[in-house]
Amino acid sequence: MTPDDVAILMQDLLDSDEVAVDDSFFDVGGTSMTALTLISEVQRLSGVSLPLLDIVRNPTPDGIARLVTQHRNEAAPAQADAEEAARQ
Amino acid sequence: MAQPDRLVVLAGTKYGSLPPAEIASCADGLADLYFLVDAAEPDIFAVARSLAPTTQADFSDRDACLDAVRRTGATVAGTFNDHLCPLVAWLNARLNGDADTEALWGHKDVQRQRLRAAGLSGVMSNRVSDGFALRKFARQAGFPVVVKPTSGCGSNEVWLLRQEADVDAFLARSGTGPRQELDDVFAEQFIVGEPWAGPHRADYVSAELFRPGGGTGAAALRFVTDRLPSAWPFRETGLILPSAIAPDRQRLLLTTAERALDAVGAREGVFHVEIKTKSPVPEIIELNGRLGGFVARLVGYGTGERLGRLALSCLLGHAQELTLSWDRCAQVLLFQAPSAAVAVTRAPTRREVRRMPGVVAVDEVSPEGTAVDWRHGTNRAVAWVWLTGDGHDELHERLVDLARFLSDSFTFVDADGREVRESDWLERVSKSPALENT
Repeated sequence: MTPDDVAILMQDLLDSDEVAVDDSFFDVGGTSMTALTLISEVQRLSGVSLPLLDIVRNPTPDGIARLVTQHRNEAAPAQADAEEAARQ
Repeated sequence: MAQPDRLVVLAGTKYGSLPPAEIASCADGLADLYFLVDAAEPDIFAVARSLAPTTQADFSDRDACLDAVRRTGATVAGTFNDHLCPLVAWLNARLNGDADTEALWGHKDVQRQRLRAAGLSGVMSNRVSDGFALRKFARQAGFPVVVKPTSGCGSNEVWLLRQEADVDAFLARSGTGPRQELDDVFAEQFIVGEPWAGPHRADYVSAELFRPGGGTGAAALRFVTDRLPSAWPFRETGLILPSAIAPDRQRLLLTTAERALDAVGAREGVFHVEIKTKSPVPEIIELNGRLGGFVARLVGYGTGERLGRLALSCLLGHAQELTLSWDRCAQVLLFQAPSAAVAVTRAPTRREVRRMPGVVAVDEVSPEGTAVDWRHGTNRAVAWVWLTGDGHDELHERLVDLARFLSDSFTFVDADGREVRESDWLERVSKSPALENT
């Protein structure tokens, strides 16, 4: 998931036509409530479920895309271990 | 190894001075945070539970709330919602033996009585039980008179009565005959102030005081926030930081606020005090047992500091001093509809507002068709816009540009469908700050 993908998600969610990759979600009209919807959308598109507090600390499309990558990288070895265990 | 502090924050309604997400972020590493959410607020519950352990309770059942707080093991409760301050005071008195200040918060009539008894206020005030009592009070105190709910907030249903006809209008709105009871209403003399921060600013300010306790009453931080002039009659239109008032006058305002808090026994916690700027002695408008709205975010934009963290620390009784160093001036504009308006008929887009110079955030832009009513108070502003500037002059120029743009871009109609405009407020905020000293 790229920062541009997250920016488009934010635009759709907030009915806004201009969210830059370094804009804070909370400065372009986002609230804690709409952040929960953003989290659901990010999970639907990337399979990664981000905690709300992570969005609060990293509220830009850049920051959120980085979080998704980070979660995937952390999950990848665990997934490989699980697949290896299943094969054995 | 010492156990971390445990803090329960009571949350209800979206109009708190610190949102749950910011509370949770500020509590990180400071305390084990729990939320207690009003069972009538499912949206707040959904947010809170995704941030910290959260329990729901019926906030009208105080014993149930006390049980819920005790189950968390916390010994301190706090809130950033005005209407929950009495409940939090009641809980803290039972959890840790704090002085019970429940009677103060949400009872503006009690505050005024205590300030008068302490010699800190000369304002006549009284609860008025019916129309007859209101007319009698107005005759004794003299017009103009302010009428408001004793436990109201955000200028909701706050009326300015300048003559008998206004009393008639107020009573008609309340559906009250001369001897029918008014519901929890408080009347007081209108306090005439002077705009110390300049002719383009309000005749009142607010002060934030962080008093961590320890019996000294000393503040870990205290500062004054300037205000834009109100929209009719008392709807707030904006806050500005840092204050442009002369330092000696700021000290006088802060001392006045501290003396008022001492007089009512509010020695520990975070307090928001509204004060009329007038000579020789400023007059307290009201005291609040929580952080002021918008202030934490303004401080964040202007200094990078997190006021919420200091507030939580203060609630826990930790004396953590903070000095604010301002990199830039910050302001929130709450653009209000004309008092006669009932609906928005044209509105700018969020994008257009964001493109105005100095705008750093746009929280709300009410779309065409939104119903408006001045009686609903400050929080029904049709645009909530945050802006910054390198200094007060730049910020003022940006505010005037933005205010003119919004005045041109929004249109409204009154109850008869006629287009309605108001120019008084725009003319006032457009005044040159330089006129202050002429």
